[in-house]
Amino acid sequence: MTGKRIIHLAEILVFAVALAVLTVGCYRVLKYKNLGSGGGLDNFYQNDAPIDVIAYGSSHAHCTIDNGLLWEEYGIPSFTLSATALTIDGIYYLMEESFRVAPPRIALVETYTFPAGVNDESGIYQTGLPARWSPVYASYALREAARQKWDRTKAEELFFRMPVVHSRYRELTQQDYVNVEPYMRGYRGSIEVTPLETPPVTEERSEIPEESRLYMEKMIELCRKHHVELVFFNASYEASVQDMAAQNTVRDLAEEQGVAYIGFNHDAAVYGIDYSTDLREEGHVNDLGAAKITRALADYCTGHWKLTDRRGEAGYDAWDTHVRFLNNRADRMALHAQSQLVPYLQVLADMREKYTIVLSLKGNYGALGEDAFAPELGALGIDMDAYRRGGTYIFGEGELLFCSAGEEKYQRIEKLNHRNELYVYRDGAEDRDHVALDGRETGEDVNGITILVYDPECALVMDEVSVNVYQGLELLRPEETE
Amino acid sequence: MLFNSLDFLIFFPLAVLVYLLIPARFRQIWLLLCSWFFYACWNVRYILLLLASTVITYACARWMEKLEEQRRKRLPLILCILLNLAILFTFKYLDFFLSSVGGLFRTGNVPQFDLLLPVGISFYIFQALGYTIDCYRGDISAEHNFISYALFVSFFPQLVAGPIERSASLLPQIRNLSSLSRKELWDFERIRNGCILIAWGMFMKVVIADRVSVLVDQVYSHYGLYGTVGLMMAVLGFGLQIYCDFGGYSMMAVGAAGVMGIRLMENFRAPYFSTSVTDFWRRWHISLSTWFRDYLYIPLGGNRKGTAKKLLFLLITFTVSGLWHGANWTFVFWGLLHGFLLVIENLLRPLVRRMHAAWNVRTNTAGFRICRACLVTLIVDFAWIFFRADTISDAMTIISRIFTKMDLWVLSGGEIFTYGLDAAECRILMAALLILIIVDILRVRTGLMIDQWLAGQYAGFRIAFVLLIVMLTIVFGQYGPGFDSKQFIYFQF
Repeated sequence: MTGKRIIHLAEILVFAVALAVLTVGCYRVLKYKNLGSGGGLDNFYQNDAPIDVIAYGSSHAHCTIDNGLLWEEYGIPSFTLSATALTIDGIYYLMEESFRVAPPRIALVETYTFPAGVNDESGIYQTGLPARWSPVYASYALREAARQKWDRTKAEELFFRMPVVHSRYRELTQQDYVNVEPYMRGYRGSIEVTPLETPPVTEERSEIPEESRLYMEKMIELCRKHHVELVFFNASYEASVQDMAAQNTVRDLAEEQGVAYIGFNHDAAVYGIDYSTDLREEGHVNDLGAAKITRALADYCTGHWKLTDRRGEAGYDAWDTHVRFLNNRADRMALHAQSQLVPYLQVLADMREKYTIVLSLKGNYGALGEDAFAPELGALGIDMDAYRRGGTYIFGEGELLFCSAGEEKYQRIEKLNHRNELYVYRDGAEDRDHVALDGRETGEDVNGITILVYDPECALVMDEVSVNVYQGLELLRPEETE
Repeated sequence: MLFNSLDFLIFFPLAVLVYLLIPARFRQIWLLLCSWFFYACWNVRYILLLLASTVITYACARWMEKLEEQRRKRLPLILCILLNLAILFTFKYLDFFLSSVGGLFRTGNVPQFDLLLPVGISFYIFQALGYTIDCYRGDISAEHNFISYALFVSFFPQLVAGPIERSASLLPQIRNLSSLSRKELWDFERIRNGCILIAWGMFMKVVIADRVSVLVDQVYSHYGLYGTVGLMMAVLGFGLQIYCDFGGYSMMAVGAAGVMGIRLMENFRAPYFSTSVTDFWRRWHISLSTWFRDYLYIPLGGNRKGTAKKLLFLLITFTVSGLWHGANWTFVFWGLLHGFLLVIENLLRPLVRRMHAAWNVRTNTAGFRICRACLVTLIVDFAWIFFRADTISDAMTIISRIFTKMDLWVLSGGEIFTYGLDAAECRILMAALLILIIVDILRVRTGLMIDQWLAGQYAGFRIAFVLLIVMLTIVFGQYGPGFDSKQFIYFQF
């Protein structure tokens, strides 16, 4: 081979490799990362350890199956692949895709949307685009394009995906570059309670679309092919008689094929579901209801199949963190329940070992006198001398990591974990202390105190409050955004 | 099949791969089949017209070849021209003619045939006519091989929107295809350069032209909502759009042909760097302007019959050129306007030169050239208003509003980011425009097209530049769901 030919081949190779790397890299940023709820496909793909139970379905799946409870009480690693209003064909696709990557021991499939038939056009994009490109995806794209009778151009766009996702450059957020919740397994929970009437039970049957029947059969066939145990279930909600009738038909179809079906609406009494306390709103259960259903399903699974208790095994850190995320909601509630500084500091003192706490004493913070809140600061590790000096204090799990000791000019970067950081600074006598989390300024510019409570393990802001002592000791919080 | 479509991105590599691999004797027929297939993708029935024009011009040229006396060759020539123009007139101008006559005589209920305009008809008919006229003049001998000739007429990279190739340039290359050796065909640098041109043309079209068209379409469709600023943005924007759309297509056509070992003429040469309207027409749609020069202007008499007639012939030529662009009085007016601009330029040139000399104006400086280029661009962009507007009346209204509806405050209020392109899209457009300007400056300074210039650069830089262009197209291109696949502007001609 001549030298010139080698150079030419090298140029082609370098260009091709660079183009492939850049295209894949751009695609990774531009693509839809997850289905908008559940544990997310990205988190699912990043997991290496075996997942014994995967729950599939619509919001009725991720609002019902408490992955934290399954892990904490049973040692069962579970994951929820779901999306709001995900129809049966989308659920089937998720099953296909997840079985391709890592089939579980048991598939729990929530059947709320089965009677609704198959995806409309927008649902096809929502379901298919977050998944990795694979023969399963290719088959899904072609199948859906044929079903929707799309022209070739549109089918090609769905098949190749970049034509669909490239325009997301307009809406990229931090989540597109960084996985901010790598520990999320699906369940987020809710403590809200909406008292509702118990839905009427009926033994009537109503028709479900032929496509739904077909997809149920495909699900059963898929599970058999991959030796995955399948359980259909219907989560509790304020169902109508027609909903119940349709689910009765779904149950019949399941049982005809020898597959378990558990109806938590039809058999609510059996499982202790109390519609006056267990639902967050008409459509979904709250923590109480989710716990009952999750335990019932866990008992069913462990009663029928042998499942290993994987607590303590390597590779399940994300499940531990997810449990922490769910548990620290109680702490968040406790903090958010406070509206005055002194009781707030008392509550916070009990949590100082768990979180990172950043306290800034700003401006004329002592205007109300040393008795206003200084004694409560002592429990957090700020004694009277430190209080008199003022400044910014960073505590991590109870240990003092940094104090500005009242200096008028300083700056400090404090790494919270491998990705997040605090930046605290003050620019001179005329300035007040600043606290920034990942570049975002926190706390108001007040004469008083600002407190940031942060969970570094879950990368979550637990609370962010300010007190303007000229207006008393009332806690001020930033306006909550959607 | 659009160049900026997935279909073409699949079709072209396959067509080229087979072309490069098959025995030499099949190359022409393969390209011809690909060209017919390419054209048939638009509408299978269009093929019949293409074939008709091909057969008519082939037969007439062969007929002329058999006649020894030049005088006797006129009959087949005139017949050929009339038949081809009849096809063109029927499909492109019949309804326009009928409605214009009806309007002239104020008769209602003028019949309209609503015939679908075959894509590229103006281009391939002119190319075929050029060949016929060349045969009549003896500039080229009639092609005996029908496959070669058919490929000349329907060669797919330039079939639907040019460049309008000359028989003396393209036919010999086509004849030579079968005798190209494997080594000549598999010329890495030629193929690479062709691919670079395709990538660059795609960038011009998909990133710049289609992006700015959002603003242009919004403003032109509701021009009553906008004042000076918005209308000027649309006027300048359309100038950019049509350059990047048509220039981008031409670039892709040249690149695609280059990959296959065929050299097409350059159709655009940094037109907005022109220092006069005359210069502009040496840089804009060069294949068409030279076609009209050689087959209309010069046969009329050119500049051989005195200044007055020269200027008259210019007016005629550009009016016909305007009509060529479309069946609407706006195009005719646009052509006529350019004719007048050229006439005025011709008349004022001696005076301007005297003034420059008298005032010691430094005409050979970059500053002077920049000022002239800006002025010419402004003049040309104002002329484009007639090209873009739906009616002459609309165009006049737009021009009037530009001078009477001053609204400079919208520049500081951020309102301009509601004219179709938000701030982020404007930033992308400006960045892409900067790249385009740099490339055009290189074209002007070095005389080299982008592929030729890059060929002489360090490989790492070349790779990086092409990667940049390709990735900008992939990420920021206006394609996919939610974007209309904007057809190339000149396809409508």
